[in-house]
Amino acid sequence: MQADNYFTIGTSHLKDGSPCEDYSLAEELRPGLVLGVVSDGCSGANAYTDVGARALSFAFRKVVHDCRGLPDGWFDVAFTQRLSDQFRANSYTDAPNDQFATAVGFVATLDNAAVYVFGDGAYALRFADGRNRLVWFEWDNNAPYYLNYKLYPSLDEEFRASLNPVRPEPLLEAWTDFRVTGIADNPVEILAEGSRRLQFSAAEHGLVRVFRPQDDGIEALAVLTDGINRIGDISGPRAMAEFFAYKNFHGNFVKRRMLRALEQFAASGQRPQDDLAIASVWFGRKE
Amino acid sequence: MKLFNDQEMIQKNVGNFSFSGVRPEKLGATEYTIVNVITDKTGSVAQFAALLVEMKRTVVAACKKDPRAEFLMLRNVWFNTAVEEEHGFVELANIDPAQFQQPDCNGLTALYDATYASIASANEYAKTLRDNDFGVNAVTFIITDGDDNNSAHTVADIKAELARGVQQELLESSNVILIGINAQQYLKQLEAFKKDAGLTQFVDAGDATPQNLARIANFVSKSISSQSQALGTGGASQALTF
Repeated sequence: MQADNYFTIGTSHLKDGSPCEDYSLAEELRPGLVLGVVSDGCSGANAYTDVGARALSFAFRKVVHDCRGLPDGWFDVAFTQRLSDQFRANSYTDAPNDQFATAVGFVATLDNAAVYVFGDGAYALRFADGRNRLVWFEWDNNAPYYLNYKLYPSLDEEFRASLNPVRPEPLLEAWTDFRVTGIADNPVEILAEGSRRLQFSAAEHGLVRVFRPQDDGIEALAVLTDGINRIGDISGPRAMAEFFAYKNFHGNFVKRRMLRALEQFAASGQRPQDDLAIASVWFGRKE
Repeated sequence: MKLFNDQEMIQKNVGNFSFSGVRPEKLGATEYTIVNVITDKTGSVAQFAALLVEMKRTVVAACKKDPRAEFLMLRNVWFNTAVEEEHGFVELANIDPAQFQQPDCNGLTALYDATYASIASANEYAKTLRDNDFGVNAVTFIITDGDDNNSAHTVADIKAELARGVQQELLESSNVILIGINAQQYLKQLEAFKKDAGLTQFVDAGDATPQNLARIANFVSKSISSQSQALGTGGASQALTF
C-alpha cells in the first residue's frame, strides 16, 4: 500500500499572479495505515485562502495522527469538533476570510477506508475489474458550507440564513461510473451516471463514505479538489482515467503520473483553469 | 565486478552491447538526469589510471553535494577493445566510490563503439523511465587519450543514435562531452569526431597531471549539475567552459 499527493496552480491564478490556493498531503501513519487530504481555498474570498488551505490540511493531518481506531470509526462528529479546534489553532492570520477552505480527506488500511468531505470536492475509486467511479460534491451557488463557519458563529448564522427554505437540499452528490477503453478517440466509456441532493443536516458535520478496499476489489482511492472538472474541455472521468493510470507505485508515483498526464493534456491545449490537488492511495490487488 | 544487487537492476541489450539500470519500480523521484561516465583503459592510460579512478570518485563525491543529487543517476564504464560496465545506472546516493577499482589497462581504442554504446544505453534506459512516467535527460562523458582504432560502429551511427533519442522523445535532451586527456597528438581527430558525430562539446584537458584530472572532475560534476537544472525546461544546458 502506497500513498502520495500532488497539487498545481491553475491558469487563472497564473495569469493574475495570485498563489495556488489548493494544497494536499499524503503519508503513512504507521505500516498499513495511510492518510491523504486535499484542500481548496476560496478564490472569491479575496483573502489569503492559500494559507487557510494549508492550515486545514495540516489540521486534518494532526487530528488523524492523534486519533485512535479504524477508518470507519474515524470521522464522527467528535472528529469534526477536533478538526475545527485544530484549524483554529493553526490559523496565523487575523482575517476570518483567510480560512475559507474545503477539505476532502481519507484514512485507509487494506481492509477499511473512509473518505471525509467538508465543503466540496471529489473522490474516485479504481476497481480491479476495470471499473472506475468519480464522485463529486457541489453546493448551490458554488457556496459551500465551510469549516470556517464553525469558528465564527456570526458567519455560521449568516450561512444558515442564506439557505433556501423552499429547497432544503443545497448539496448535490453526483457520480459517474466509467471504464477505460484504450481507444484514443474515445478513451472512456460511461457505464452509469447519477446524482442526488442532500440536506444541509447531512453535511454540516462533514460527509463520510466508507469502503472495504480488499473485499470491494478497490485498487486505488483518490481525493481531489473540484479542479478535476475544469481542465480545458476534458471531462472529469476522462481526466481521472489518466490520473489513475499509474505506471508504478514507489515514492512520488502520484506526482509522476499527474505531471505526465497534465503534460499530455497541455500538448493538446488543455490546461487546468482552476488549481488542482490530489491525494491517492494504491491498495494493489487482493492476492 | 558487480557493485549492485541484481534483483534491483534490469539488464537490457542495445545491439551488441548491454547495460543495466535500477528497475523503475524501485525509483522514487519524479525525474532523473542519467549520467554516463565512459573512461579509456587502453594501455596508454596505465601510467595515470589511478588518477582516473580518483577523478571518478571525486565526481561522485561532488555530485552528492549537489542540491539536485536525488535526481541524478550515474553509470560508470571502462572501454578499450571492449566496452565494460563497472556499474549500471544507479541513484547517486547508492554509489560508494570507495568501491571503484583500478582496471587492467591494455587493448585497443574502440572509441566509436564506446560512444555509440553509451548513447544507445542512455536512450534505451530513458525510454524505460519515460514509459514509467519519469522525466529524463542525459549527459555522457567520454574520457580518452587517443583516437579510435578498433570500432565496428561509425561516426554516422553515433550521430544517428544521438539524434534518435531526442527526436523520438525518449529523453528531453542529451549532452555528449568528449574529453581528451594526454591526447595532444590526436586533437585534430577528436575535434573532427566531435563535429562529425554531432557531439555537444570537445574539451582538451591537457596533460594527465593530478591538477588536470581534478579539473576534469570539477568540470564533469558542474556539467552534470547544469544539465540536471535544465531538466523540465525543454532544452539542454549550455556547455560550460573547462
